[in-house]
Amino acid sequence: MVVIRNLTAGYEKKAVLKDVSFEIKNGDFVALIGANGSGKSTLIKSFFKIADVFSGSIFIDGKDITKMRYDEIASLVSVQRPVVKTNISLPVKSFIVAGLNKPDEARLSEILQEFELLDISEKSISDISDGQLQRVTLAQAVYRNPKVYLLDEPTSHLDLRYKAQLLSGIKKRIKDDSCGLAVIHEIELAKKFCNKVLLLHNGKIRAYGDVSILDDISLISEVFDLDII
Amino acid sequence: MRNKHIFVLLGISLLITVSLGIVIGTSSVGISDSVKAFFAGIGIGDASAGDIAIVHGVRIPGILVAILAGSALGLAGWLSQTLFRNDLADPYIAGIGSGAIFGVNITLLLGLQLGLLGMSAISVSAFIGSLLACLLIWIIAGRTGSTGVSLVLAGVALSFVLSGVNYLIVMYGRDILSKSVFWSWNGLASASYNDALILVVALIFSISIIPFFLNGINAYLLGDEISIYLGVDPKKIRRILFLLVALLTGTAVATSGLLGFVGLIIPHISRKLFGADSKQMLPGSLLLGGSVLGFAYVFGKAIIPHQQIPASVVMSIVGGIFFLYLVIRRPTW
Repeated sequence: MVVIRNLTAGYEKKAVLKDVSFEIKNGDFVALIGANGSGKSTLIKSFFKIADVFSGSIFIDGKDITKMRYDEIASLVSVQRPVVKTNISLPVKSFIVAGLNKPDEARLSEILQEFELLDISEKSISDISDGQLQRVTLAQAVYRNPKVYLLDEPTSHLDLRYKAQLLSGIKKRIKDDSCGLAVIHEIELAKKFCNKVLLLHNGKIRAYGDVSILDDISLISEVFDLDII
Repeated sequence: MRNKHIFVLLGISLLITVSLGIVIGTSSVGISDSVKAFFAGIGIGDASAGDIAIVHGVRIPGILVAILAGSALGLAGWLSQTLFRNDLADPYIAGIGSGAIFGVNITLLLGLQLGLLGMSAISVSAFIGSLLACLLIWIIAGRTGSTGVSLVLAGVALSFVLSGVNYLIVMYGRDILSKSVFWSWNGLASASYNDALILVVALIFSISIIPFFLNGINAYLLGDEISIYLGVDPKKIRRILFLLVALLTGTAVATSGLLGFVGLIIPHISRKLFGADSKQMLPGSLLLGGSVLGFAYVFGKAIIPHQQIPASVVMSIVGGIFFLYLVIRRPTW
């Protein structure tokens, strides 16, 4: 469970997120929706202090992660980002356990099997297809069995089939002891895979509730600064 | 499995290189006399005192230091390419080379007696010069957040400054030029068991530290942001990598002069053969570095009778041509 209290965060003294407070209960998969510059990525980046946290706290199961080391945060939170085609020739199985002190070989085999990556486990991440790469990064997150799945722009750069696969893969893994927060661009995908939605507008929460609020056209127009109504 | 075979082959090629290093030389001690002298030196059979002195006093330390320095530079090359996340980085990029020459020139100019731990004044001053250059770069780059880019830029800038200063020193002490140039190209000519021991210590220290950070290094390779998401502090990895590059390169420079291209090429070949995974790159760059430089050293002795072409010259010419081949093969650079 994530509890965010009065979070103000941004870059180089400039606040992008302003005094944001909300909670994500275990079992919830929250779609984070907002226009460019509304603070979606800053919110994700605040978990690992990549965005400067000026004030406020982020609690996961009661512990304030803004006071933790990176490895401690990483044991609770997995961040998935669209991996752009890379020229780093790291084998798939090493990519999945990258950063871990003592990888568990049995767990790695399980994950490789679950994500159907056994055939390409020795292949370099620079030599696999976009769809495979996306599966591999999801496998990397799932291996860590996190309390919180974060997805930054998971739907960009992918064709619709992969987007749906990715979101359904995460939805499947969010159970009673974990939750998820995903930046999603397509409202239809948010409706299909998430149960809650957080609408950000100019660094503040405009609305937070059941996905049904996405049917409110005037609200969506306001969040995206559209004049369609 | 395939990698294991290549590693075994590399091990065998190292043994062959050592054997060749023992039997081939610029003196007139032939192959069978060399073999006799080798065994006589370890208490088996007889040989002339002169032959034993040449084999055990010159050839064995020479080939050992060449192999160990090659391993140190191969490893330092991989670590610096990782540090800068750039396949074109080499261990001298941080101004280590010109720092070492600066140390040597100052020592020659002032006639300093800096011998330490059985190392000559030139070796000690090369080591100190290279470490001071590293330290300076670390401090400069640290002020700007010690990112990979600022480290490279600071290193290039310092190299230019030191090259200019080195020229000034040579202008005022002309006899320094020949000694300094001879040392930088042919540092292996004065190789000793003591040099080999110093390299072994630096290598063992590095090899015992790196395994704790292999998965961290893999995460670091993916970029600072992803590294943090994977729980690895990129600044910490950068500090460790920089320290090891400075130690390994400084030790290699102090014991063997400036050996260009080893640090640049070895990681490339290793990556090609074994893949970029740190677990493969560690043994790969060690074994390949030792084999290639050891071979270059023996080749330099064998090509013209009674003449030693320095291993650094062989590496520069052959390595340079190989590098051009890489550039042509991968025009995307």
